[in-house]
Amino acid sequence: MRRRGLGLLAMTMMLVLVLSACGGKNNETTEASAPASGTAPASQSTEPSASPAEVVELKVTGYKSGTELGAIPELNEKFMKENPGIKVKYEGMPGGQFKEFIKTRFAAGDASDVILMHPGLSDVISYGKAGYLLDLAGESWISNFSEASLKATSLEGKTYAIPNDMNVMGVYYNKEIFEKLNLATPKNWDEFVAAAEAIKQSGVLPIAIGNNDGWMTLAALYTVAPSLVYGSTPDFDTKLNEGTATFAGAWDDTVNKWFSLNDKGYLTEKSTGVNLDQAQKAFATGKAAMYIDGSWSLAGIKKTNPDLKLGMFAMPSNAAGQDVVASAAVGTTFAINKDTKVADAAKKYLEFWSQADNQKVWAKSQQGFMTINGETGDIDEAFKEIADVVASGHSYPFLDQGWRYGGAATTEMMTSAQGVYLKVITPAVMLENMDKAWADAARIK
Amino acid sequence: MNFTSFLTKAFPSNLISMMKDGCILVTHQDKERVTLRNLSLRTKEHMWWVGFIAPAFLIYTVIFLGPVISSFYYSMTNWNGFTKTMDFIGFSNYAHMFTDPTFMKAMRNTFVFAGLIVIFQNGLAIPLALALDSKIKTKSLLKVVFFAPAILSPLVVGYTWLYIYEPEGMLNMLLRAIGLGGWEQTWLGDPKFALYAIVVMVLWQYVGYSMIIFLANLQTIPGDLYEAADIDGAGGYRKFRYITFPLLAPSMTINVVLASIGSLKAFDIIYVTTKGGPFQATETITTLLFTTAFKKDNFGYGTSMGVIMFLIIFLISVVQILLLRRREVGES
Repeated sequence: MRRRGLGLLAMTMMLVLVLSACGGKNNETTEASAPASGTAPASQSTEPSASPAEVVELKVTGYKSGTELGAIPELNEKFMKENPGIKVKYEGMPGGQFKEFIKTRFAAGDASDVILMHPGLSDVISYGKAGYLLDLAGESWISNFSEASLKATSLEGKTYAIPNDMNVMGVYYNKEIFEKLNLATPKNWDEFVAAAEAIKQSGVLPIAIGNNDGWMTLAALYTVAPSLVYGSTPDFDTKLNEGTATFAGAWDDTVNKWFSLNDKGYLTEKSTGVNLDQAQKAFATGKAAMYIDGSWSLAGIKKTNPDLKLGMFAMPSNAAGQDVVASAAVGTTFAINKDTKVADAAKKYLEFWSQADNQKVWAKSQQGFMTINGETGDIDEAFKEIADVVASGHSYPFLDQGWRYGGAATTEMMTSAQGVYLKVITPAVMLENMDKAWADAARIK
Repeated sequence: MNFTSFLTKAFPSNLISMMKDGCILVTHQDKERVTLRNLSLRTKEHMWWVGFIAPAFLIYTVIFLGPVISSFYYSMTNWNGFTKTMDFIGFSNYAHMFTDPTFMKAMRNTFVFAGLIVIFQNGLAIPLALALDSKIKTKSLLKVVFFAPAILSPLVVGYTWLYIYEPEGMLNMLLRAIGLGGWEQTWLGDPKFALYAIVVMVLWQYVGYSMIIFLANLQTIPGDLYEAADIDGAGGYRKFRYITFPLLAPSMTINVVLASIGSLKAFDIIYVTTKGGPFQATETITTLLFTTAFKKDNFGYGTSMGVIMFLIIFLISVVQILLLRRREVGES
C-alpha cells in the first residue's frame, strides 16, 4: 500500500515535471527588473497601497532582441516608474522566426497582451481583420502620429497598431570612392548607370549584393519600383488586390532596368552564392562602392568599419527631369491583443509610446525616422540626402505593405530573381511566376 | 510478420504478458462490471503499470496524436494559418499538388537527395567499419573522431559548412592552393552543385553514425567462420562477399531505414544553407512545405504536402523493412 502511494507520488511528479518543461519558453525573456538605484524599494515603502495584489503584469512580445533591442529596456523602465501598478515583462526573439512564431501564438490563443508587429496589409492589418487585435482608432493619442505613418496600420477606418518609427531603403554609397572619381549623387537612372560604369572602369565593384536567398534583390526592386510603377499607376496596389492588374505589364520596366545592371557587370558576380553579410562586408571594407539596404543596417556597417565615410541616396530609377522617389516605411508597430485581460494597462503602455519624447528615444536607438507629427528626431548624418527626399513628400512605402498576398508574391519574387541571375529564366518569366503565385494565393481565399 | 511477432520482437516477454493481463483486466470489467475491489489478487497486482503508461499516453495523445490527426483535417481546408475561419475544400489541395511543377521538382529533389544519402552513407560506412574492426592502434580515437559529427546539431553543421563552401571559403582556397583554381565554384549558389554539396554535408555528419552500428554488428560475427574460410582457401573478397556482407544484414536494415527516414525528412540543414535555393535547386518537400505554409500563408496546402510526405515515408519504410528483413539470417 505504502509502495503504491509512493509510486503514485513519483508519477504525479514526473507528469508535472514533463508538463512544466513543455510549458517553458525557449525564447529569450528579458524581465525588466526594477532599477538598481534603490528608488523602487523607497517608493514601495512610501506607497503602502502598491501591494503585490494590485500590480498587473503586462506581457509584451517583439522581434527585437539582443543588439537590436535598442531603447526597449530603457523605455520599459521609465514606463514602470511612471506606472508603479504595472509590471512590464518583455519577451524578445530574433526577427527571422517571428512571423511564424506569432502566427502560431495567435492561432493557439496564447499571444501576449502587447505585440510588436510588422506593418502593412499582409501583416498587422491582416491580423486586425482576422479579429485578433484591438481597434485603437478611438484613442486620443492616435492623432499624435502622422497620417502617412498610420496608413501602415489602418484599414477602413480602424487602426490596429501604433506606428513607432520609419525606415528608409536606398543606396548606401562610399563617399571617398565617389569623390575620388568626381561623381556627384546621381539624380536619375542615366546618371546612376554612368556612375556605375565609371566605378567599374576604376576597378572597383559598383554594387555589392548577396542573393543566397534573393532578399537583397527584393529590397533593390522595392527601391526601383516606386518611380517606375507607382509614378504612372499610383493605384497599382489597389488594382492588384482587386485582380485587375498584374505584375506582368506593370513591372517590366522595373525588372528589366534592374537586371540590366547585372548584365553590364555592375553587381557582385555569382551573387546566388553570396549572402547579405558578405555583401555588406564588401561595401564596408571599400571593395564595393554601393550597397542597397535599409537604414537599419547602418549600425552593422559602421561596426565593420567605423572609419567609412558613407551616405545614402534614394534610388534614382526615374528618367531625367522627373522626381526621385524614396522608399520609406513604418518599421515597427505596437498592437494590443483583443483577448488581453489587462486592456487598460496595455492602452496606457501604448499611450506612453505615443508621446514624442519616448518616440524620440526609440527612433534614435533604431536609426529610424520619427512618425510623430512635427518631429524630425536625430537622424544620422549618413541619411541626410535621403531624409530631404522623404521630407519633400516624395516617398513610397515598402511595396508589400499594400499587397493583400504579400507573402506569396515576395516569396516568389525572391526565388525567381535567383532564376534570372542564374539565366534559367528571363525577367518576363519572373513576373509571370509572381502573377501565378498571386493567383494561387487568391485561389485559396 | 504479423502483429504479435512484431510485438514479441519489439518488447521483452515479461512486458507482453503484462499487456495481455491488461486486456484480460479490461474484458473482466466489461463483462462482469466488477469493481476494483472485487478484482482477483493476481489482476490487482498488475494494475500499477496502467498508472505508469497513463501519463505518457496522455502526453503522447495531446502533443502527438492529436496534431497528427488534425493535420489530416487541415490538409482539406484552405486555412491560411491564422484566421479563425476556414473552408473545407475536400481533396483539391491534393489534386493541385500533382499539377504543381514546383511540388514535382521538390519531390524529385527529395528522392535524389535521399537516394544518394542512403547509398553513400552505407557504402562509405561499411569500409570504415571494416577498417576500424582491424587492429589499428588508434582505433578508439578514430571511432570517436568519425562519430563526433553525428552528435552535432544540423544547424551547427550547416553554418560550419557555409564557411567551407562560400566563394572565398576554405574549399575554394584549398583548390587554388593545390593548383586546381579552375575548379572553383560557388558551391551552394550554383544549381548544378548545390544539392550535391548538401549531400556531402549530410554524409560527413552521419557516416560515422552508420559506421558505429555496422561496427557493433561486425563484432558479433564469430571468428571461427573466418577460420573455416581460411582453411577452405577463401581470399579477402570472398570472405567479405560470403560471410561479412550477409551477416551484416541486421545492421544494414537499421541503417538503410534510418538513413531513408532521416534524409527524406531533412529540413534544418537545407534551410540553414540554401533555404531551398538557388532557384529551387535544393527545394525538397520539407522546405517547400515550410515556405508554402508559413511564408506564402497557405497552411492547408502545406499541410497536405506533409500528409503526402508522411505516406511516402511510411510506405518506403515498410517496404524496406519487409525486403531487408528477408536477407537476415538466424531469425526465428
